[in-house]
Amino acid sequence: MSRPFEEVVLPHLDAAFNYARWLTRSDVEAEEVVQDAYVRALRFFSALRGGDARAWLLTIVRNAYFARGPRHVDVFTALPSEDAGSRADDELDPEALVLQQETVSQVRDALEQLPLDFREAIVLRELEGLSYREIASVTNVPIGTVMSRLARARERLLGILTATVEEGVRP
Amino acid sequence: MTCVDAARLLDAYVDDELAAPEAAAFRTHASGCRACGRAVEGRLALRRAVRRMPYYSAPDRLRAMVTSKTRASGHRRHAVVAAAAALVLAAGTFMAVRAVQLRDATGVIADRLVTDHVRALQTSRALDVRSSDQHTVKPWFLGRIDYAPPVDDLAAAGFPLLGGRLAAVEGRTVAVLVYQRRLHPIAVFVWPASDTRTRAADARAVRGFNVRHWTAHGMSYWAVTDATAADLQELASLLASPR
Repeated sequence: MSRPFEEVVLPHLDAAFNYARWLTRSDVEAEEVVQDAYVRALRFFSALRGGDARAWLLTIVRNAYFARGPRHVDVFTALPSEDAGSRADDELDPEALVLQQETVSQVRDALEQLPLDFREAIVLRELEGLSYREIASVTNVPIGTVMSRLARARERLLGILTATVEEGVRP
Repeated sequence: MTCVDAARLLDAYVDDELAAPEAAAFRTHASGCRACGRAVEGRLALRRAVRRMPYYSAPDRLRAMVTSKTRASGHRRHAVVAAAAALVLAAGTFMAVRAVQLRDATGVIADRLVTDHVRALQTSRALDVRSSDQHTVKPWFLGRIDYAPPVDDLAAAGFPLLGGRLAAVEGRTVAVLVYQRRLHPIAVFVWPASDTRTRAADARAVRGFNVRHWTAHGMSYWAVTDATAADLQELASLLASPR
């Protein structure tokens, strides 16, 4: 027996909005994207057979976001992605990270600076708790790419956040 | 395992995506290698920092809009299901189908409450009023919600009160009392029951949390915790006992 849309998809509204908000970095746009996504989800609901409704919905949110056209293409994605975040492991001082009181807004700013591919990998992994397989399915890339994106995204974030700390500590 | 291998597997390791033998090899290496051990700590510190950020919850306006859009379609589906059931199914079978639907609705609420509980734990705003004194916590809800939630002193029974907060459930603001069992918080969501008959409890596990639902004293109770199901049952029977 199939369960109604309300019971299967509606409970994931917060997840849809959170993801859309991180994709768009705007409350207004995120609302529009989620509305579009729900219209699409409703239309294609019969295509969801079993499976995870949340990951399915997040995929649709992403498609709705990209369907909005070139003016919504993330300018940061075009930045070269190799150099900026790379750094020898020896420079990393975890204690500094643990002890410093990195404010919530500093972390948010750092995450917002990341290119879209990296940003969404972090959001889906850390805030939605999706597995690599699920992230691969939502973002339509191989699992190996998910892993390397997460690694690079985290290196970048650590780079940005430790730089912030050093600026703050040193006179 | 070399440091080069470890660096390649670092993220899969902290994300719990390695097969058991690989994870064990990684752990062995990282415990003996200072640089790789620090890399793991850095990843974990970063995770904590990222998870401290508040979740962007859907605004009420958006929720209302999406709900009204999908309701219309949902009702059509219900009508089709009901008509088909009347035609082909005997009355008894229909009742069974209805019971399954009700059970599913319960599951949806349970799932939501677990999400709410997890989110409250993730943010610094886990409690709106923090007190172990029921005479501080109960009046706090006055003027914030349109009913007086029962607040009990169960410290002697091993469930000290931590405090209370508000939550949005099914479009209404409800009271959440947080008790503690050893180190495990237990969130008790409570609101006036629409059907005040005392009903059998519904106990289930949702994403690693134990959830229990019951009705007593005209109130609908939902409790969510990472404590054991037995602890939860004990608290439920204390809260349901005649006062």
